[in-house]
Amino acid sequence: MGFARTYAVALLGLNGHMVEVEADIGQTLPAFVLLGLPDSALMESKERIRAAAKNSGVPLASRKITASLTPATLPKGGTVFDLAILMAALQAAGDVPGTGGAVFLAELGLDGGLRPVPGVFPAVAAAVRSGHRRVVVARENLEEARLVPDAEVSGFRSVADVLEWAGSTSPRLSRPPGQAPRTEDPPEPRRRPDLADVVGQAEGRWALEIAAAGSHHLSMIGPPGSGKTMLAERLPGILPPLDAAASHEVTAVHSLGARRTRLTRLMTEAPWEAPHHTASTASMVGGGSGVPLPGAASRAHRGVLFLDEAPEFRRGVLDALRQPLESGEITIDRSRASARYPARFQLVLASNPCACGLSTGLGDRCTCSPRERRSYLGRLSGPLMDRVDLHLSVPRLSYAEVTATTRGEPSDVVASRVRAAREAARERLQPLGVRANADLTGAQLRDRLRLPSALLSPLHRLIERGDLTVRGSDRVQRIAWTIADLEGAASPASEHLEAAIALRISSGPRLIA
Amino acid sequence: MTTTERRRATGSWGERTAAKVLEARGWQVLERNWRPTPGPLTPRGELDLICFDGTEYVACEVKTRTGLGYGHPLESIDQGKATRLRLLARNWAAAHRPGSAVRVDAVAITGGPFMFTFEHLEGVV
Repeated sequence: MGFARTYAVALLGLNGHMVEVEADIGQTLPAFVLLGLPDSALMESKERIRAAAKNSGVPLASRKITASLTPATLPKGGTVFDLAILMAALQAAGDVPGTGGAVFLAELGLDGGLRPVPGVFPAVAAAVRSGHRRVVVARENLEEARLVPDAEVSGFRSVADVLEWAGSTSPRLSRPPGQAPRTEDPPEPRRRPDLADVVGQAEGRWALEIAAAGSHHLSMIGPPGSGKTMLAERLPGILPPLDAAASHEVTAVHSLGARRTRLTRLMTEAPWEAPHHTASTASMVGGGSGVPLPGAASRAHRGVLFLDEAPEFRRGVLDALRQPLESGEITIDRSRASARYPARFQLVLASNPCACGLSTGLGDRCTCSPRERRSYLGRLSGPLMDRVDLHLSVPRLSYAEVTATTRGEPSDVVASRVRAAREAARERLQPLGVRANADLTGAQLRDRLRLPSALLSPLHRLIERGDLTVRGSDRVQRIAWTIADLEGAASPASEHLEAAIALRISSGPRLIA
Repeated sequence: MTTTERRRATGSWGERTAAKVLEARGWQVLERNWRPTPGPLTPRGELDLICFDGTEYVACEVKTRTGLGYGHPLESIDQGKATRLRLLARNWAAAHRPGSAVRVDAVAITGGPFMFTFEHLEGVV
């Protein structure tokens, strides 16, 4: 008596750490001391807890209450600890017989109601992994918590409900009046944009299919209105559904986003993120004060990150993408701890050929100065573009194409070809420890997957002529492997290499080798 | 009765009740509403009760409330008040029982003559 312990989870990135919440009731003047490196939201807990307790009919003991969140050196933030601290304080005061080692994850309203918190999915997963299967959350987080296998989850609307569940016999329990739910139901799944909507653009569709099959990053250059955005939007629709591990990662990242809609299902489709070109570095790769939150690049993990008007993005923001493009994750360092978020996304860039967008074809309508024209695409740095395998020129549609009546293939037809190609590649790639053709390194291409030199001679000729760099030749080979997979060939034949070369060489007005 | 008069009446009822309860426990009540003799360096304020519990001298601050609507009685003893109580207690001890220790207790009475709760915290300062 006078002492009690409950449990909660602190999230650092997507990693949950078990937190023991201890409460001690001393025999001195009323005070509420909170220990354990709380941030400012957490310090506010004391007032929420005090009001919630009073309005639930179980006011806090009028003595000094000391609450400690251990381990003390782990930085903790947010409102998720409210309920755990209150339950420990009430148990220490004898208002509740026990909590059975349950983990409490909820914010408290002043009226004694339980409020949902972000990050429930990764937090409950961490609790279950540490052997704490019994979890109590706000009613609105119940479905999300239940997504974790083996979790025994109870969801309540108010502190009074939790106390009854815990066996309190207090006669004065009171509940807040019923209210409209604060989070919206998840929307009906939107009809995904379909490739059949795209008129003409045969080369663009072909490039999109290759990008999907080999997970290649894609850059599209073309005048405004040529359909770059339409094509990009249709990439997630031809990507295969996420496997179990990917689905868990993506759901965990999205659980941490500030959303108004409840998370009730595991996310099984490739996510789509399209930040505006005025985005800040923090919104792109994550950050923010306190415990850092994931950015657009992490929300695009296992999906597509689309940068429309790519040269208009701030240089620093594009540079910040190099770390995740290299390593597949983002580490945000703070003085006390680092948060790591996964960020293995497929990058799609869309650019106008110049600032006014009209320097295509004859380029006679372009209003940029020659210098502006040259420097516009130069804003996309070498190191960034080096990682993009597919460089596509998207021309304006001709009148004939616009008025053609035959529709293009629908997304599901293309998606099944993509799936088949990925399956075909799996056997070859697994022993190399690589997920997709886009991840093949130059060394792997020249060693284990070396193609006969007769096949590679067109590439060598181009290198000699100065039209292609060695890096460029690697990119052509990766694309050739994907084309071979799509065609059902065991390895690239000369027509696959020719097709890959044709895709790259056609990139005008500027050859990016 | 005006509000102030009512408040004073409640307070003095509380102090008298506290004294009765403590005496029933065997304590000796030595002083009520004690103030130090005024001087340039003496602390301000008064001590509600000064007692002897058989072992040491105790200065008691008594707080009375008729209900909990305005907070628990003990919540009204803030850091500043606690410090002043400490100073007053030491002042009394130095003047009347030099060489003796004195501790400060807080007593909270919640309710009225027909039904009240009596809470006693020892050594609060």
